[in-house]
Amino acid sequence: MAIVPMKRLELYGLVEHKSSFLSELQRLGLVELIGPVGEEKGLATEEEIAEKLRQVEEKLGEINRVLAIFERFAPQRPNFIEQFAGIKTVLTWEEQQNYIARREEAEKLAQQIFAAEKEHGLLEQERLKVEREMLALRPWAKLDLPAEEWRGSRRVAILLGSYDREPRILAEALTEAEVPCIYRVIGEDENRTYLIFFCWRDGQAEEILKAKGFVPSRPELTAGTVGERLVVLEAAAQELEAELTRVKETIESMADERPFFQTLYDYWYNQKRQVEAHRQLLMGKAVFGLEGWVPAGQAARVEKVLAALKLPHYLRISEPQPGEEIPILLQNTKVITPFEKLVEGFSYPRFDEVDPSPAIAPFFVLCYGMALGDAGYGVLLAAICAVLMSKLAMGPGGRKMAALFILSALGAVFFGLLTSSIFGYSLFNGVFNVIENPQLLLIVSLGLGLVQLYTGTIISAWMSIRKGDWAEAIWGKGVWLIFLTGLLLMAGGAQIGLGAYAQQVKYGTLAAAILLVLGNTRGKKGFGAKLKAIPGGLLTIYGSVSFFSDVLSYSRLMALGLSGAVMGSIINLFVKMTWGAPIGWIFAIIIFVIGHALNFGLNLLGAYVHSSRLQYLEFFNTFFTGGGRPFVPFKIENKNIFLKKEREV
Amino acid sequence: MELGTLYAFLGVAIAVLFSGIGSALGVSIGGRLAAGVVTEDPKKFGQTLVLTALPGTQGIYGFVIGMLMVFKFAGMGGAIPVEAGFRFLVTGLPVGIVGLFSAIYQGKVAAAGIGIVAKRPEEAAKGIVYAGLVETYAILSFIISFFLYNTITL
Repeated sequence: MAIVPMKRLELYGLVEHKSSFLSELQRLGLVELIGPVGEEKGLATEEEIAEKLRQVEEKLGEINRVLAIFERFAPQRPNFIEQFAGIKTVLTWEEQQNYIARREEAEKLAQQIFAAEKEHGLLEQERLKVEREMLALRPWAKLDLPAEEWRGSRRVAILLGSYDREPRILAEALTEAEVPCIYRVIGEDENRTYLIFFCWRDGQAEEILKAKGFVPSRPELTAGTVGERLVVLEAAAQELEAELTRVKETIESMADERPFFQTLYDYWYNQKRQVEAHRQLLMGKAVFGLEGWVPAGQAARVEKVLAALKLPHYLRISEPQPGEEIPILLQNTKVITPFEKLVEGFSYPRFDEVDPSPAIAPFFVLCYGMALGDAGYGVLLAAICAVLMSKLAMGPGGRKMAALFILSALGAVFFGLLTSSIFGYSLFNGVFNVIENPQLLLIVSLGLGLVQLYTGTIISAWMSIRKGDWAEAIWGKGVWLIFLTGLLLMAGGAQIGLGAYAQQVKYGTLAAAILLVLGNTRGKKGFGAKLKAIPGGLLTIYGSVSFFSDVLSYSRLMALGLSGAVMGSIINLFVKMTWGAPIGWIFAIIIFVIGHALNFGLNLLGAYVHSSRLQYLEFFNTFFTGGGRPFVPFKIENKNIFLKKEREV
Repeated sequence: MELGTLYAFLGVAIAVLFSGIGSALGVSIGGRLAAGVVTEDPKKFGQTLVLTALPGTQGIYGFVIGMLMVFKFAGMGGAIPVEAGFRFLVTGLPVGIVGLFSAIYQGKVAAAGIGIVAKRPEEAAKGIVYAGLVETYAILSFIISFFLYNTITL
C-alpha cells in the first residue's frame, strides 16, 4: 500500500572491496545505512577517513573558489522562475562522463583561473593608486611652475595650499600685516580654492595665513609640472584599463568551463559522501560489515546488483524486529503522488499509521477549486505549470509541486464551470452564481467540511480495526458519528423534510450520547473506576463543539471564493467602463490584464495556504498525528547539475 | 449631507481605511526583512515575495466589502435612510478593524517565516502556513461583514 514495507539488510565483505561495494550502493540509491553502535571502530580507520575527507574537501574548496570567481566575473542571471526553482546546469549522461574523465585537468585550469584573478586584483589595486594620485593632482592641473621652482628664491617665498573661503580675505590679512604678496588661484573643487602665494620671505606670511585657516599643501611631485605628470598618469590609467578588460575577458572566456567545474563539484561531493559512509561500517581486520534498510520490493534488485560485482560477500535480508524505528517511504499511484508533497510538508506518518495522501487528494482539489473558483484562472494556472514542467529542469520535488498545482487547477476549472465564472465573466447559466447566492456557497463549503471530517473519522475507525481494536472503532468512532449526525438532524432536520421525525431524532441522539458516555467506561475494572470514567465521557460529548468549530473553519473557502469573484467582477466593471471611451480599449486591456494578474496571484496563494491548512489542522486532527522518519537512502546527489535522463541502473 | 448618507459613507471608509492601513503595515514588516535577505542572497526573491505578499489580502477584503457597499447605494438617487446608513456603518467595522490588527500580526509572522527562507529555504512552505493561520480571523470577519451587508435593503 501507501507506506512501503522495509527490510533489514546486512552485508559483509572483504575490507579491500569496501569502496567498490559502497560506490555500487550509492549508485543504486536504494539503501539507507545505519551506523554501528560506537566503540567497535578502530582509531586507525578514523584517521584514514579523516585524511581522505581532508583531501576531498580541499578539492571541493578549490572548485568552490573557481565557481565563486565565475559568479563574480560572469554571473548567471536567474529568471523569475529560476529564483523559485534554483539554477541547474542540464547535462546529458555522456557529457557528465566526459567531464568526469577530464578531472585531472581541473587542477591546472583552476591554477590558471586563480592566477588570472590574482592579476586582476593587482591591476585593480594599481589602477586605484593611479586614480587616487590623479584625483589629488587634478586641482593643481593649471600650476605650470615646475616642482624644482617651488622652493622660491632668496627673497621671495612660495606658499602653496588651499582655503575654504574667499582668497581675498587672506590677501587682505597679509596687507594688514604689511607683508608684500601676490597670489593666484590655481584651481577649485566643490568647497576649496587652491592657491599659490608669492610673499616676501622676511615677513611671517605662513603663520599669518595659517591663523586665517589657510591649509598649506603641495602636490606630491618631485620634478616637472603637474600637467606633465597628469599626462603620464592618464596614459598609465588607460593602459591599466585595457589590461583589466583583457584579464576580465580571459576569465569570462574561462567561465565557459563552468559546467565542467560544476560537474566536478558534484562528483567530489558524492565522493565525500562515500568516504563519510565509511564511518557507518563495522570494521574488522579483514572483513567489514554494514547494516541498513531497503524497501522490501527492491531487496531482490540490490541482491542481484551486488552479486554482479563478483566479489566475495555475505548478504542477509530480514524482517524488521519489533520496536525498531522503521524509516518511511511513501509510494502511490501517479495521480496521488503529488499530494505526498503536502504530507511531507506536515510530517511523515509513523509506520503503524496510514499514508494520508490518497485521502487528502480529492479534498484538496475540491478545496482549492472552491477557493480559486474561476475556470479562467484554473486553465491559466494549469497552463503555467505545464509549461514550467516541460521547460525547466526540475527535480522530483519540483515536478511533484507542479503536478499538484495542475491537479488543483483542474478543481478550479470544475468549480468555475459549475458556477459559470471565467475570468469573472458569467457566459452561461451555471448551477448557481457565487455573488448572487453566497449562502449556498457557504452551505457547500461547510458540507464539504462535514464530508471530509466524517471521512477522517471513518479512516480513524478503520485504523482501529486494522489494529484489531474493534471496540474502539464501534464505541469510540461509530457511536460518535451517529451522535454527530443526530445533532445535525436536530438542528437542520426540519429544512430537509424530516420535521415529522423530530422526536425520534431527539431520542436517538440522546441514546447515542448515553452510549458514548458508557463506551468511555469500557475496560475499566470495578464499579468505582467505571463511575470515575463518566466525567471523561461527558467531555467526549463536549468534543462535538470542537468538531463543529472545525466544520465552521471550512467557511474560509466561501470567503476566498467570494472575494476572488467580487474582485474579478469589479475589474470587469472597470474594463466595461473604460471600453466605451475613445481609445479606451487600450486602457481596458491594461486594466484587464494587470487586474486579473493581481487577483490571480493573490487568490492562487490564498487558496494554497488555506486549503493546506484545512488538511493539516482540521482533517489530520481526526486521524493523523505523524512523526515518522523519512527514508534517506545513500545515493548520488547533484547540487549543480541536472542529468537529462537518469541512467538506467 | 443627510445623516444616513454620512453613516453609509463612513461605513465604506472604515472598511477600506483600516484594513488598508493594516495591510500596508503588514506588508512593510515582511518587506523590510525580505529586502535584507535578498541583499545576502538575491536568489531568494521569489520565496520572500510570497511571504511578504500574504498580509496584503486583508486590504482586499476591506476593499471588496467597501466596493459592494458603494455599488449598493451608487445607483440610488437622493439621501440614504438613517437605518440603512447605520447598517452600512456597522457592516464596515468587522472587516476594517479585524483586518487592521490581523494584517499587522500576520506581517510579523510572515517576517519570521522569511527567517525560515533565509536559513532553511527548503522549509519555506511551513512559514507560509504559519502566516496563513493568522488570516483565519480576517476571513471570519469578512464573512460576517458580508452577511451583514446582505441584510441591507434600500
